[in-house]
Amino acid sequence: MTVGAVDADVRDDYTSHSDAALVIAIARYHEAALAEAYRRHAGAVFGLARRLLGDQATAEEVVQEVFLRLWHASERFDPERGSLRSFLLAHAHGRAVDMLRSDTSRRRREERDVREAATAGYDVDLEIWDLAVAEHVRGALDRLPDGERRAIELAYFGGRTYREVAVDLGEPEGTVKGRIRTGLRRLRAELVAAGIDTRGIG
Amino acid sequence: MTRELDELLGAYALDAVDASERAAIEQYLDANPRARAEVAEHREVATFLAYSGTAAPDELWSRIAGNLSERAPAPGAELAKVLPMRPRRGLAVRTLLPLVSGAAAAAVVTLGVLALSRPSGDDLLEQAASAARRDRDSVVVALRSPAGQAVEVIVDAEGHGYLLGDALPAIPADRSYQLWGVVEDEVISLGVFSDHPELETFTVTGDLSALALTIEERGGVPASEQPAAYSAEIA
Repeated sequence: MTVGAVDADVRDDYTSHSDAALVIAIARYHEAALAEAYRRHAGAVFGLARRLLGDQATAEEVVQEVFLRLWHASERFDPERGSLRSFLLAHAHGRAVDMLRSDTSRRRREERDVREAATAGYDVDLEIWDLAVAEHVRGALDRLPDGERRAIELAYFGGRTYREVAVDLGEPEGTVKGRIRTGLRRLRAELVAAGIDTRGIG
Repeated sequence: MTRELDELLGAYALDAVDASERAAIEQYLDANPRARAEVAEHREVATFLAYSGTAAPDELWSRIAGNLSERAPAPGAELAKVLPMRPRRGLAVRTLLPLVSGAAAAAVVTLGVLALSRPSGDDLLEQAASAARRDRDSVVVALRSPAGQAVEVIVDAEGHGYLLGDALPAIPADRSYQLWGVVEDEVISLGVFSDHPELETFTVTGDLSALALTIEERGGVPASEQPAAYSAEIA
């Protein structure tokens, strides 16, 4: 039996591997490992992109780009800088914001047609886990001072710069950037207090 | 200036700064590990905010997979590289199992646990394993159970080994997984691991021709009388 043949045998089952192990396998161009990463995280990536862009087709473009980048440049993922989901979402968010700030996407946003995403194939255990965590996150958001919550939501989900947020809220720029930072720290403290591992998901 | 940049780290993590500020912050981050850590923390928090309860469309994966096949290098040639140790002596895995049995105990040279300790952090360990996996001179082998389950092992050209133990089933807490290697025609213990291994390290010195995992009493044994739970010959 050759090493190559053995390796091919092991490619088919990555469901029990950690995200870090998946990235190691992806670096060796194991498609099944990328498929498992997609199964775990594509829903979150797609959901974020669609929420920002308000357009399913453009959100799908972002998802495709994010996972192709992981395939071709997995070495860009540095586990010292956070979880795989955080890495993928940060890329997706950056791309979506770039698109959102372009005129074309602004028009698309104005004409948004948010269609329901297909739900087939969604991992039930992951969904239950996500729902439980989401409840904590909603609670933590609700407990934030209004100014901090609004600043974070407008920046993260609205794709606005803190300067634009300042205009939207009629607040000084310095106040807004401070509120974003303080609010994120407060959220993290709340999640940690709730026993949620903020080092990441998956 | 430093304080001003620190104040922007939250907005930066949410892509809420303009281009000129982004460039200044990224320069600042390059030289400031504390600031990098803060941005990483903010992004992890944002990860939780991103939950939407939706799934990506199934057909989207087909499109992605289609693009992979066009661009990715064929894995066969890369994976076929073998460990550049001395030529193996043709010891098949079937010979490993009797060697670790009691009948052959006298022939077993136990070198003890060669590597049980991890580097300073799991992240460093994962990076090292990732690097070993990318190295074309490394060998990647799947140890298989009689039922066909697999666990992966990577050994780099220097003999640094990594057991991707996440796939192993948990065993009773009073038991340990123990890794054995056939080196220079002798069976040696390469490491004793917990009842639920993760990414584990070991070291091999010499010509490695087969590997096997056994389940032993907690703490391991100098010579095994157990059948191999997982094993493989190294081609």
